[in-house]
Amino acid sequence: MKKIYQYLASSFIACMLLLASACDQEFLNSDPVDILKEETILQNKTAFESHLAFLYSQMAFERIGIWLSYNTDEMVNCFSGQNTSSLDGPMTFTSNTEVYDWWENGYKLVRNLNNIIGKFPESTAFSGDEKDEVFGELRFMRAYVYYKLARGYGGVPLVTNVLTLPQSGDPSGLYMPRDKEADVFRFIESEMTQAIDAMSSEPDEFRLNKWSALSFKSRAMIHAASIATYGELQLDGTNGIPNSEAEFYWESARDAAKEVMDSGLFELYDYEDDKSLNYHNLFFDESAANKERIFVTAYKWPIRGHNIDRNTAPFSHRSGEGYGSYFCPTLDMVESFEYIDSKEGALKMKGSDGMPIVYDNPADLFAGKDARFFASVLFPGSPWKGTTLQIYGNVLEGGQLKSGFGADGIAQPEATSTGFLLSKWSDPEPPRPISGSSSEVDRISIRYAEVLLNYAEAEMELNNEPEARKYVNSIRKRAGITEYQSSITMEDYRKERKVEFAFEGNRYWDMKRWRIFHEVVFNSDTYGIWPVYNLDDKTYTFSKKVLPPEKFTRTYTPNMYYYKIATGIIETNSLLVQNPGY
Amino acid sequence: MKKNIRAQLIIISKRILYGFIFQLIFCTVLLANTGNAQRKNINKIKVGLSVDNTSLEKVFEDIEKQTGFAFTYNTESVDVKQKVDLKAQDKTVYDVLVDLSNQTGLRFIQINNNIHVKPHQIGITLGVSIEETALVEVSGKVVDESGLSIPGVTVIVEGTTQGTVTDIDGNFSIDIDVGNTLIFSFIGYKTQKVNIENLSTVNVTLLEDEKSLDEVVVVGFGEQKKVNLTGAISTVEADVLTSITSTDLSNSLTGRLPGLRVMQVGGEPGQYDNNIDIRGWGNMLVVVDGIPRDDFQRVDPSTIASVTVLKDASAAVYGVKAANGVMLITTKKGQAGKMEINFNSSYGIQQMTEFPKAIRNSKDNLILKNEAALVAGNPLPYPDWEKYTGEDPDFPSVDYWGLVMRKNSPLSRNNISFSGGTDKITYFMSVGNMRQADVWKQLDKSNKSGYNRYNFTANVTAEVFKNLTANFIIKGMIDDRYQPYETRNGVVFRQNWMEPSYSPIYANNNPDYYYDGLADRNPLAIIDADLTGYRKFKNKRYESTVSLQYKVPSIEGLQLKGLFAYDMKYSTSKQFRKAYNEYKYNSETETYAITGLNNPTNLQMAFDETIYMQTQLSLNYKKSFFDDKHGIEALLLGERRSGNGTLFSSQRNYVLNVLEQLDAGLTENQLAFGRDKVLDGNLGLVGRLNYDYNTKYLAEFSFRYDGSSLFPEASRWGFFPAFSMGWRINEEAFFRDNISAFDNLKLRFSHGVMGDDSFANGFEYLEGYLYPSGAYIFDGVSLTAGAAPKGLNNPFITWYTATTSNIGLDGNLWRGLLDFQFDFFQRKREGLLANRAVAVPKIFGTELPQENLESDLSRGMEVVIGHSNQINGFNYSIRGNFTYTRVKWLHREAALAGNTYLNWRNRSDNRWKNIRWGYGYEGQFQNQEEITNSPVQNANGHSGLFPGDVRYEDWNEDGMINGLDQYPIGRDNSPEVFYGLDLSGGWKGFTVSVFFQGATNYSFLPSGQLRGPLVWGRNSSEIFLDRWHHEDPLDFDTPWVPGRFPISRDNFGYPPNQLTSQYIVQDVTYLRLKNVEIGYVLPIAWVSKINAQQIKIYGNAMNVYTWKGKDVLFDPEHRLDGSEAQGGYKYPLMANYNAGLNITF
Repeated sequence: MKKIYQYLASSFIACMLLLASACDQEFLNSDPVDILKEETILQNKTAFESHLAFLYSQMAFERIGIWLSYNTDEMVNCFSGQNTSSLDGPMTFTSNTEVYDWWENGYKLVRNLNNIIGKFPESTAFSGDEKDEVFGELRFMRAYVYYKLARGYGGVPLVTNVLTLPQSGDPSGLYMPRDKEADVFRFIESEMTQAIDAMSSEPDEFRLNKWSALSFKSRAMIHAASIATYGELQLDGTNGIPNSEAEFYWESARDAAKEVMDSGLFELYDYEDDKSLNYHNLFFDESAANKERIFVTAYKWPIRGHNIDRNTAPFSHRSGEGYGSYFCPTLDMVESFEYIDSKEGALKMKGSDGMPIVYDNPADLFAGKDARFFASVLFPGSPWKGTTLQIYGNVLEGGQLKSGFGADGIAQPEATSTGFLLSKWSDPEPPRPISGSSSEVDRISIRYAEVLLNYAEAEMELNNEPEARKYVNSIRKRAGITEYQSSITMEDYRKERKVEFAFEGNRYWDMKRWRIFHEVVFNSDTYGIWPVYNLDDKTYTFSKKVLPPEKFTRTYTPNMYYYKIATGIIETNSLLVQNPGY
Repeated sequence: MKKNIRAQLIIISKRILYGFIFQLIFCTVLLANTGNAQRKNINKIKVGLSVDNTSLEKVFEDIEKQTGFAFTYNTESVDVKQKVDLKAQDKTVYDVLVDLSNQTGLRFIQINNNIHVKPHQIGITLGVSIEETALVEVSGKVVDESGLSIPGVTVIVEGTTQGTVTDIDGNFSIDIDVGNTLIFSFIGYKTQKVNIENLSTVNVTLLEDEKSLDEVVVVGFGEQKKVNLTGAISTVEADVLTSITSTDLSNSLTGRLPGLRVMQVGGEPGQYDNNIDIRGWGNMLVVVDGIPRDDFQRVDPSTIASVTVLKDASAAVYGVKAANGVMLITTKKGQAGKMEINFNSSYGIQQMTEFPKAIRNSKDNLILKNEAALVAGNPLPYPDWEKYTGEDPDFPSVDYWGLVMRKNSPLSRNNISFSGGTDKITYFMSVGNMRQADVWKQLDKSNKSGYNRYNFTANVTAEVFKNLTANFIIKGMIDDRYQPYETRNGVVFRQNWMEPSYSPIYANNNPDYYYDGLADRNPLAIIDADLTGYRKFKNKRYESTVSLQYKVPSIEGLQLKGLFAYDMKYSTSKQFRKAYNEYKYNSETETYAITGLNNPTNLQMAFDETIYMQTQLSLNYKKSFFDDKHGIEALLLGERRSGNGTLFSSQRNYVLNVLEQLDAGLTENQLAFGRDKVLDGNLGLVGRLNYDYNTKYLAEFSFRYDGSSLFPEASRWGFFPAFSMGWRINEEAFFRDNISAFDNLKLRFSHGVMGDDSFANGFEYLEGYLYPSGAYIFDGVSLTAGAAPKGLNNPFITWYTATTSNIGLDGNLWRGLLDFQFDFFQRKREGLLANRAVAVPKIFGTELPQENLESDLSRGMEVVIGHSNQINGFNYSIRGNFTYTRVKWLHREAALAGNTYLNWRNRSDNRWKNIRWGYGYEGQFQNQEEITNSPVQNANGHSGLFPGDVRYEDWNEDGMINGLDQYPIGRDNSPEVFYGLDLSGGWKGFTVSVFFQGATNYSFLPSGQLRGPLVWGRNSSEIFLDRWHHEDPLDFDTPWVPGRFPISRDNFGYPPNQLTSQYIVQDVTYLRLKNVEIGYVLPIAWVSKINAQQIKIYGNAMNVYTWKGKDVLFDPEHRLDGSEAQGGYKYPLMANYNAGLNITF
């Protein structure tokens, strides 16, 4: 009946109206201009690749590494300070959807991947080997999403089908408890293995293939292996992996890394005699000659630029729009870089008499450091874009300590407070004035050095130190630093990893899986240096300086190895158990 | 206001000598007309006429047509319907009349060109007579009901241009032919006719024109007598709107219409930055000349005839999108008569009403910075702060605000209109221009940073054929905004607010070199468009409406109307970002180091077109029955609305930045965007039936049957009925006999259901993938557009419904001494669209689509009370209004929370919507001991706190201050109560109007520079100087001195002091002197010298003064809340002061 009324009414109105074309029912059926049907995605290769583009952009393959370094002992954010003032928790991290809110974003991806994986067999967009390769790509992506979920939250519900809401609309039918972390990692291991078998062995640094997948697998596996080795079982096994499985994962990590190494397709970037320049170029050389890049997220100005150069800029080099000095390495990190001729990295600020050593040139304090230091850190007296960075907190005039600070720090807000700035990824010769989207240097998500060190770590854990040392030394050799001649300790290995991957985000996950975070960062003050400039004889002295505790003191408690599952997530799924300590 | 003008005219005529002059001129003109009248004689004029069994009326008409004589008769004594036969070939009129007299027994008397028809009278036998032009002198006095004489009343002989006006005592005297009729008319009074048979003295009492009875109000798809209204409807007439020199129509309406709530939140020229709604219900539908149209703020107020708001079920006939009420704007039409030319021009200056002040001398700022460093345990960054007096260039103290802003910026408005017409065709034409400059200094040569608007309109109505009237309206609104490139979004205010005064503005004090070491862009550089580029935005809006109206001759009262409207909007923009340099000076090498900014030069051009079309066809029937006691009006209307559009934008970079043309740019890295727009379409069928019994009992029923393209076929259509009733109690005998004070007392009730699709996203019912959505680079160079799943669809999505009820009482007492209007209303909305997502586990991996789930209820009241009077020639009126609305959730989607506190906090069912949550405030800590004994204040325990810091209430008494201590501490930033008070008076040609307006029951949450000191380590609001500090601020061993704020800390201060709390939230109740106007109507004697009818000069001012809490250091109407994206740097509100001239010819 209702239909008839509708028809009569609309026809009456339409026919009454002066435009003859109004007489059809189609008037209210407008066509959307931006919606693709699912059939098109499944049948048309170009359309399918558009969907892939969406999936890749959502995967965000670890491109945010640098932002994670705020939360470690590597550096602090001098632009706005750490946010430690929350009333609700001991420490609030820089919010970042790729890490801390990954539950929601991860499961969104899981749903999309489950959907496309489920329908892929009927897809006619690809055929033959290519179809298998794409299928492998999709399954690997799903496994990697679960890896990112498990390393953050521990055991999570394993969803491998598209969930549908019950007819009744009652969402409780969708509630699922957390699977055990051990089961999740077993799923990850087996999915990755099967996916990799199907994937293309053609190298392609922008798209997942056999080699990038194996490299990522080695990363996931050393994580699982570390949890099994150093972690503990919690919540009846929801979190943690039994110690008995450690060896399996160490071997899995070793084998995945070895396969990449054996392919002969990749090598450490080593072209320049100037080891510092060489290490710096590693992050800027986007040519085929750079065989260290295994998987990268590409950027291209102006369509898709990023803001690293704006955010790393020293105070006097700030862009017109402000910002800068986001990343300030700590003294601790600086001292982790060894001097070439000694294993020690401590800065020589005081002489044996306890008096400050007087330097004619502030850069002399750092002379002889690991080449990687100069390619990673900017420091007082550091050359930068044709100038010399002026970083000091007081001046000495006629023996009197007076106010006055360098153009790049230390005392002014939004300039460095540690005395250091970031040079890794900072382009000394940017192609255009820097701004919020002016940078287009690719972000390397995983590079060959990590594969080598993952391999070395697995060998260390599997008690094969000589094999491990070989690859630790290959990294040191490339950096131009003295190679280890005698056996190395786990500490040596870990320090190498810290220095090699400084500010790349690795250390955040490394400290977590080694379960050392709470020892390294526990109610600890953060230190920088305080240079004083003697106006009378143009010399410099340095002292160690604690950063204002209300802004930079950080606390890490062991329960933080697993994130808090946000209240909203638990509220909507009563079968979920919260992680301990929240 | 009408009354004022009337009163004003009385005064002009009565009290001033010019009244006489006015009369003299008029009389001379009028009498001169009678002198050269040619007399015709019925004996000489011949006619040819041959009719059978034809009505006398028809015969008279034919004779009138052939001869130019006019028959006059009284239908009560002369039966003109009677049938006559006539055969007259080339007969004189006299002979014909004799024939007619014989057939009918009527008498015919020719007096001048009139033929008076009289019934048979005993004693007079002659059927036809010619009377000589017998002029009799008639004199008398015109008074009003209270016996006061009325000067200046026009007295005209009917059917002629002969006439006079009454003198200062209301007396008149005129020579006229016996048998003619005198017409007495005066503005504000009912026109009266007196037939002069043999009277020589005629005293006339003019009755006040009871506006409330005859006044017509625009309602949905038509007009209605005000007395017959049964809905909650408010109207404001043109005269209120024209003289206000606001650049934005909605500001002119502020506080004028009860129930219409307007808040101006920004003053940027051309941005029309207002929050406007009806009864707090959200975006209303705006209907201009019968067609839903946005951008109404751009309409030239001079062209507006009336603005009406429909606040209850009376809006229901607009169906789609009308659930939040409807504003009807009607523009002026021409009136038959002599052409009237009106010219209005005003010029004024604008000044900022108020803007939070930054510290403008270096020493104050440096004390705060040094103090903050001491608090943080750092060495003094500026031990030599005392040297910063600005005298030594090395120790500057720069007043950035003074360098960048100007005190007065100009504003001008001009408008000219022509209107007039004949019986067959009337016209109204108008052209206007408005210019408004920006408040910053104009450094570029073009000197045009500001806004410019042109309005034109033409409204022509013509009777094309008998019974068929055509109306054509075309309106154009063309505006352009020009501004220096970097001045968007309040950046100028932010930049020069934030720059601490100890930074120099020029490198080496050389004005040719803008200093580069500032925390942000150099604020002087960014207002110089020649240096840094510009943005130009142009909008062109053309609105056209054509309608045909046909009176169906066979059925009295039936009209058929067809209407077609075609609106076009074109927006174009050209944004030119120019590379420029800032400098630093090196005194050792005596060179300037260059910093290149805004590189590369870039030009972006965009084009955006939108077209809306609407067609309506309607039937209207209006008739009264049974001695006019039963009145009926019916409407049936169908309408269709659709729209489409296209947008396109592109940009290129430049190496040569001299030619600002797109094709002069580089093709490398060029960008382009463009797409068609799919706008929603609607079909609707409307019906309405009105009934009144003797204007005592009134009823209205209406319905609307609507279809919207936003919904799937199955749930696309909705039926929405409404009804209303009225009872004019004063018409009841029992009431009238006992209480005579009431001229009108009406009880109204309305109830209706409306549908609304305005929250629906398009195509929510379809599945699929959005393309393009996001992108990824697969080859290292080029972008592959993404196809993102659209998310779950809802195939059942449909309208939400709003059920509105209103009960009202209107009264008028003692002929204007008191009138009032009370309205109580409620609106219940059901099926509001919301995502059920909150209840679905996140592992589901997607959000549920919008569903019709939530409901809310708003209730409120409006009161208007007015009084007008006249005492000894001074007449005045006072009118106050008050609006109150509060909304509560009936049901709001919320998941069950993990604990009882969150469960309480997150669930909003049956809770007011405008609650502000926050911490309780127990004062500032007075000493260290209080701090130590207080509950744990934050994650740092008690460390870091000083006397003067904020002491929060441990609301749940658990010994620590945390999120669980938040509770409702007040209302949010949307006012519950609005009020307005209009005072006006007139005396001897002077008029004064004063208008107050305000709002209360809301609060303000400071953000940015109002929330804490030393924002980003740069500058501070002046207010933070009033702080807890030590006697010697830099010696912490000296005793504390209390202050309003805590001790200074760097960068926004200490975050725990800034939680949303009773401490930081401010009550921003205000009362504002919104408008003042003083006008003077020039004496007629002067005016007549240039053949003008009226000249008025006036001065007026807007946003003159604001009363508010003493701690509120900004304009309360200018919202700087955290919710405003611009963090407190919005373009400030403007006060303006104008002088103007209005001439009517």
